[in-house]
Amino acid sequence: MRLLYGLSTSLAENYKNAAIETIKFAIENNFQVVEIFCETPDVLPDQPDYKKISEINSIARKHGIRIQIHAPFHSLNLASFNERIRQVSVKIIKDTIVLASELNSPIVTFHLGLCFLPCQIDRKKALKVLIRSLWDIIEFANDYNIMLAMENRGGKLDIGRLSDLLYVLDNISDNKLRVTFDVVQANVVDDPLKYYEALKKFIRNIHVSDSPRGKSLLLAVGEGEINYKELLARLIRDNISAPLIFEVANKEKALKSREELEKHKKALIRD
Amino acid sequence: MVLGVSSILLFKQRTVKDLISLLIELNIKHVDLFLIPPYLSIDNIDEIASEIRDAVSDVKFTIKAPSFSENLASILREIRETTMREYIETIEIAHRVGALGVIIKPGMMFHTEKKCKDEILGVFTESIRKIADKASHYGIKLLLENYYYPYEILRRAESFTYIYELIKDYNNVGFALNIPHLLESRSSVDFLIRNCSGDVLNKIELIYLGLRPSPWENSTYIQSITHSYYEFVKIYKVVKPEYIVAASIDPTITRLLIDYLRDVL
Repeated sequence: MRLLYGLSTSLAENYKNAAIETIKFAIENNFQVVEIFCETPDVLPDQPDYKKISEINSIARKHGIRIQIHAPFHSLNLASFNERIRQVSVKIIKDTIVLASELNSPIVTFHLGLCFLPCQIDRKKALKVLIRSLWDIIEFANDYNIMLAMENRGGKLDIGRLSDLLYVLDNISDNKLRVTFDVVQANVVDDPLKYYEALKKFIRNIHVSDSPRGKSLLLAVGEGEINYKELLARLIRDNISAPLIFEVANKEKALKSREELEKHKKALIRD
Repeated sequence: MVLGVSSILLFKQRTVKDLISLLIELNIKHVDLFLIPPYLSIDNIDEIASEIRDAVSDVKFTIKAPSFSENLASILREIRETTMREYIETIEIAHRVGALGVIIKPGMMFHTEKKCKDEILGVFTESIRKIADKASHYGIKLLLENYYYPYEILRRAESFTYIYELIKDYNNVGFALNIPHLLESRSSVDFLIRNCSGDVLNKIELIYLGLRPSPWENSTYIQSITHSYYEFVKIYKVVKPEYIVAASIDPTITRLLIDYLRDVL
């Protein structure tokens, strides 16, 4: 089984040219996928730069790089009780879907939202608000034939625990709504393998980095405590071909992570 | 100096009547109305303010603008514009209901914003000035509140000094010092006093007291009340803010905070 490796543009050094810098690094180092994080000034969904979009498309097509999109998430809250904040959050995700379509991305990863005081007192109500937002976004994404992948999150204020994702999947049955499995975010709150087992049917994208248990330090695979060998064994066992996107602190850590995963893969094939 | 309570007491199905009863019981004459739509919003604030005013003579109001996802320093233009609209609207509401001050969360700088610091801070400064001008036009105090996460623009002593430089020429702009947030940012009142000039400290015109980590979270860390109180005692020796607000969703905690504060004042 060939693993599909990718890079997040959050690795870039020059954020004003993050997408092109990351794509060039991917080409030079034989990565197959680049995930554009749409919170860098070169690729903002609410201020699209069409010249930049055309440049990205041209270079990606020429070198066979698959582009995929990560929606903005800071200050967005699809579960907000404040209708104005909820609406602007929905709008930014829709703008991201349009951008994804222009960049030929088949998938948009997004975060579900944040749980502030009103939600902390009435989480059920917040989840209902979230479902309403998601239906709106899913209908829109369907028009563009884009898959939406909600990401699991482990932060104190995040909506994105395993129970939240399962709640959403129980309430929205649409094959265009799937999961981006963030291994280190699962590791912040629980055993990533437990998350994997519960979500594996829905995983279409994987964020990879390593960390000690309970933390999110963006280390290279092998520098933390996550059992990547076992995770890889299960991905191979379950024939999951989702791209492995390195969301690590720098490019060197991305190279090191890929090397480590390839080592595990060889050992698994040998065993 | 006026002792007040936050309207977050209205959470957990409590009514305005419950809030009024507590104000009368504790002889409190100041309510800090935290706009948390839909509970307290542009649609019902006039009615709620009027109900409180009818029941509590000489009551004064301040209004805390919506302050959760709001961010004047976001890289996303639509987030900045939405935040700006909410803050301007809060000032207009304050003018309408006769509130004396408006409290805002200045903003957050995440990874991208930090990488594009110069541009973002330019936009942020411009926004703060526009809001300050609007507040000044209505004769309303604009108070910037510190928060505790590492990405917050107003957080620890050095950021108070930085923001002071932006607002020092405005007589109507100052700080709302949130003591639980200050402690949660691994700082302290001692550190603030040691590292900020008298001019910076004198801009503190409102103090929030509550449980850690934040009065604006559903905290149950009851023991932290003592720590917050001791820090308040220290700052009160140095500055005399116009408003002191006990902020908790729990009436028992609010009573306790008011009792503690009355011992000092």
